[in-house]
Amino acid sequence: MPSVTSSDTRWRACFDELAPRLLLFARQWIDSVADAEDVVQNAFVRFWRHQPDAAPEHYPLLYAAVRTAALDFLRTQGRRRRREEDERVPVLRHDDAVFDTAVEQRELAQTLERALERLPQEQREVLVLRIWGDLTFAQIAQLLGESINTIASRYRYALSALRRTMNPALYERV
Amino acid sequence: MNESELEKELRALRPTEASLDLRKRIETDLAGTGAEMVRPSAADVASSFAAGRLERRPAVVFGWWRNLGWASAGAAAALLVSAFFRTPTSSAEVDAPTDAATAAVQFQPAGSSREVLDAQDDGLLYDEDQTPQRRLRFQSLERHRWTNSATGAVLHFEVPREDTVLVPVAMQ
Repeated sequence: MPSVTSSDTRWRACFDELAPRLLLFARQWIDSVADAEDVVQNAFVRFWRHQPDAAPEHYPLLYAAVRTAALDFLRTQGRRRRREEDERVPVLRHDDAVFDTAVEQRELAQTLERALERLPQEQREVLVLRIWGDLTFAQIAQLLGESINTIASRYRYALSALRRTMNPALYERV
Repeated sequence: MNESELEKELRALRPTEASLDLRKRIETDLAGTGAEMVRPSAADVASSFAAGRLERRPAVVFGWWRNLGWASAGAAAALLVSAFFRTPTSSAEVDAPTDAATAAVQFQPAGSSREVLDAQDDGLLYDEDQTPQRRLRFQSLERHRWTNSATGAVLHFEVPREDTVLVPVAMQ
């Protein structure tokens, strides 16, 4: 039986490692940083209440929990928007930076953020999970309920689109 | 898979840190549930399950909902048939039941179809064994046709239904 202390240590280590990635993942759907943090909080707390002895191999489930919480949030927002007759469509759109960057990386980061905004949601989701979530195609496929081939294709399409958008001269080969 | 230059550049970008406030809020939430944090571990649950001390509930509950759907359809049909043969005056009601019951019995299912209107993936949930499961919801419309061979009457009715399917997820 795990002790409170060990559970406490585990979730803190998990938070230190994954919080920025989970936040980035949530911000695909939610433009407000504050709302995205709320979503991550709900998902993270729910996950650790259910799995107090979670090990790193269980961490992909956290992304699934964040995804579920984000979609629930959007449904709630959608109902609210319909009530308010606001036709905004949620996309990756925000005023705050998505990446922590050094000065020399800032231009690349801003270009990337704009390129990510233009990606179809299903491709962006795979790209974020693969690059910054560091998940395997198999894990992403399991998480999204798709085949590995589908996930790999979306990833390739996403990279190709980014190459074309970000710097066609530099990335001529797909 | 060889990692391209683009992938390397992307990986070099680090997502922004979460706020300290988020950490504090999570700390507060998890600290308030100390009892939940000392529940049996997943390994304990797994060993109990292997030893037969725990019984895993069926992961897929589609059949239960399907039965409910048909039960609802049957009930709706019975109501419709009884309403169909119900006469509007109270005086006729006294004399009618036998004939109506006989006619209702003569109605037999003659066909049905089901149209899936919408499907939603609700994401992962945890069952009581802490097993992650994906919850899928399907909204559909069943159309049924009953005929009365004695009178040639045809009865059409529609039953909306929602099925919830839980699919176990084995995350490596």
